Amino acid sequence: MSEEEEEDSDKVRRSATNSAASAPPFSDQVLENVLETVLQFISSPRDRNACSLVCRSWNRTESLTRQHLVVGNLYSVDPTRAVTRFPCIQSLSLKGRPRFADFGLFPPGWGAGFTAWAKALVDGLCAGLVKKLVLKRVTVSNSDLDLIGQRLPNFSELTLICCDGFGTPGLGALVENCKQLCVLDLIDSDIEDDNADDQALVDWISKFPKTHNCLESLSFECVPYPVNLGSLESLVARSTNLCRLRVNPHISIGQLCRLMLRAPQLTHLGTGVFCSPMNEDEEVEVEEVEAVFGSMKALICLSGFRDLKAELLPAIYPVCGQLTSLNMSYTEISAEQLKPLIRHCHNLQIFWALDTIGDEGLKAVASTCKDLRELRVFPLDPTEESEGSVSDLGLIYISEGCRKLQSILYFCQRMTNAAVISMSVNCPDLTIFRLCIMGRHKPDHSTGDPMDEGFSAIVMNCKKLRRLAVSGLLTDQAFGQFGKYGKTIRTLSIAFGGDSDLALKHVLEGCCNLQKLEIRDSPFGDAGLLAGIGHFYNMRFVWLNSCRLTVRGCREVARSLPHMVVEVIGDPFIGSPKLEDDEPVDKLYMYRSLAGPRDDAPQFVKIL
Amino acid sequence: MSTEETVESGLYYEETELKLGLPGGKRGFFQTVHQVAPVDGIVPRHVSSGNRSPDSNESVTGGGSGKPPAAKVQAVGWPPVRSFRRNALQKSCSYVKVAVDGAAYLRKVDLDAYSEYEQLLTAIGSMFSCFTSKKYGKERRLVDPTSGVEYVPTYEDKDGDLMLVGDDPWKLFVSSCKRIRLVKSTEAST
Repeated sequence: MSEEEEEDSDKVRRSATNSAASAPPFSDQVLENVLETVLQFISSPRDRNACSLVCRSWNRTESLTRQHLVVGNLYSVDPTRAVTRFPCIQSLSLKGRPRFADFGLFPPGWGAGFTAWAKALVDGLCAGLVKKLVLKRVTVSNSDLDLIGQRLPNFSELTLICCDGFGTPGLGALVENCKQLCVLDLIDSDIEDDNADDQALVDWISKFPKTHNCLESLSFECVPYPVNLGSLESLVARSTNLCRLRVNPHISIGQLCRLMLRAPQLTHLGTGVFCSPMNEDEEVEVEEVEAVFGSMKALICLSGFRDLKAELLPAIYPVCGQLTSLNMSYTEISAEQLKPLIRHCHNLQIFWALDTIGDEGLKAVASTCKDLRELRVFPLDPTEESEGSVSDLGLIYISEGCRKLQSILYFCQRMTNAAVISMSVNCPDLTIFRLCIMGRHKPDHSTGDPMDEGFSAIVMNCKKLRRLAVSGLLTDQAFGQFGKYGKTIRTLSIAFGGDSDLALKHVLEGCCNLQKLEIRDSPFGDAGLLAGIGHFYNMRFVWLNSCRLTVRGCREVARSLPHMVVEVIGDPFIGSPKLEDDEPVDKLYMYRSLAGPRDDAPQFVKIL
Repeated sequence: MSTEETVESGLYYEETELKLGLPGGKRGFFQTVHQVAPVDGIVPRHVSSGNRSPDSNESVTGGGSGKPPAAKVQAVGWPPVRSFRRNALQKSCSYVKVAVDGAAYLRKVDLDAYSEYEQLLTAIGSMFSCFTSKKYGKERRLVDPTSGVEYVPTYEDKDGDLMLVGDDPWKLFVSSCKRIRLVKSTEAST
């Protein structure tokens, strides 16, 4: 608790004792009242979890007062049980599939559907209170969206990240019925109408009632269908509180400008495309676009730029100086095109780009963006054999220029231990370090050594490190260092790394705060897996893909840990995976759960 | 399309692959599984039965030898870039076949290499023994200087209809053109 909170709770305690002196209420009741008041100040889920473990009355009080429920794995608890325990929740955050699902490693139809949760919410005591839903990697159906819109009277914020399973009918139903919807953010989701050609798409933008004017955030970059521009314009015009607008690539630049003029108060803008329109009649001049951007005094976050026409880039110069976040990661721009732009961005804290900017581009970033906290450099050509346009040089430039860096995701083909060590020393605030050397097993390209030294330095020097993703050639020694120094690591991703089970053992025994472990294509077998038996209950999940596990080892884990759900995932084309002891296990996904084995597992998933 | 054609033309498997409509299919599982082009006849390792032995895993066993395995097949989902991003960045593959009535073989052009009709037709003309281009008002024809035969450039669009080249704005044409056919103007109905 912070000092402030302690003072307040002291005050409360004193006043409670005073009132106890005058008229004696039951001490239990006093304690609960006090506790309720104090708990108001505690919002972090971890702190709340800790409070709930103190004793039964604390558990009860905490459950009744919790407003924000975060469920990191929607299969870890039965929805009805969760909603019954926390009857006053106002917001629910759910995660479904683990991150590896984003890369095609999870067969479709595996699960993580929202329907059971939707039903629990609308039937629970919290139905009248629930305002906000954040879902990540969950399959949401059109009827789920309809249900939310109709049966949750105070619902106002929906954020869907990497979700799927719905289309324009669901969106239409939601916006039509949800009178107080103020946030609708659809991010990187697969939105698809069944039979998009045969059936008419639902014009969901037009379904916002004409009186609806409380929208604050609207992101629909991933909706692959055109929207009714007239309805969108009128919606934007009457939503005076709208501060975040991210459109899809079906909006032309001229149309975007018209929308911007209606909403000069925008703080976050996603441009969709940024190029010449298909229809030559709608062509706009750079100066016109520049003038529009010039009027956006509040803009701090800019993204989009799919299909960029480089000549139009100068149009955003007027806002560069105010930007704290710039996402150009869908745009192929060169260092030469980036330099005149980034020169103005001295307030930038978050920058996402493609590796086409090269080491030179990164040098430019490093020389201007002294306040940079988060950098992501994605590969234009995401294949193992690709050239890779950034290297160890770029990493060094950034480490020297951006000392406040907290989070980095970097795809490259050439890296050195020296560069990684340099970053570990120059950027002590790093909490997230994800380096992906795209060619598997690649060593330090100047010395030929494994990348052990570099990654070890990160773990040793970055005392706040929470998340680590490793790549390149790594021996068991590296993992020994991770285990020894990586006490704060919560998420670890390993690919094509290590020599033997020893590596996995080091990690499982050493990284005491490890919550999420993702491993692919590494020589770890049953012995390594079983080394973690004492630790798996402390973790949210473990995922092993194409390692050297057999059914025997997995079964051993399942037998020793009754509250672990151990899923052996097969190929949907082949059917049920064979379960003889010696059968290799290609995909293992296991997670702790109070709910026991789920009943919606498809036939290519076997729960041991 | 046969395997040899896809490899030659540089088209990815998934362009011509039938996609099953299972829920969540677009998350990339089928696409990435079938994206692996067979290398030297070796079956992609991730599209095989559950009898796959763990020794087929290609990671290094000795410490620090750094030698990549001999038969390297693209790993599914590696490098770890979200399917959403991969699809958005994928260069539109705009090679189309060009057929000329009476010619023994077809040619291929990359529509992305041009920004207007004139350029495209000039390029096609020079591919087929130096045809020259002739303009009839808005229409363009290609002429074989040796025989004087005129050809009308047509194309097959997404719906399978035979259309006249030149009616649509260039960008629209590029996105909907599937193959080009030079039809002898004596055979063309107009």
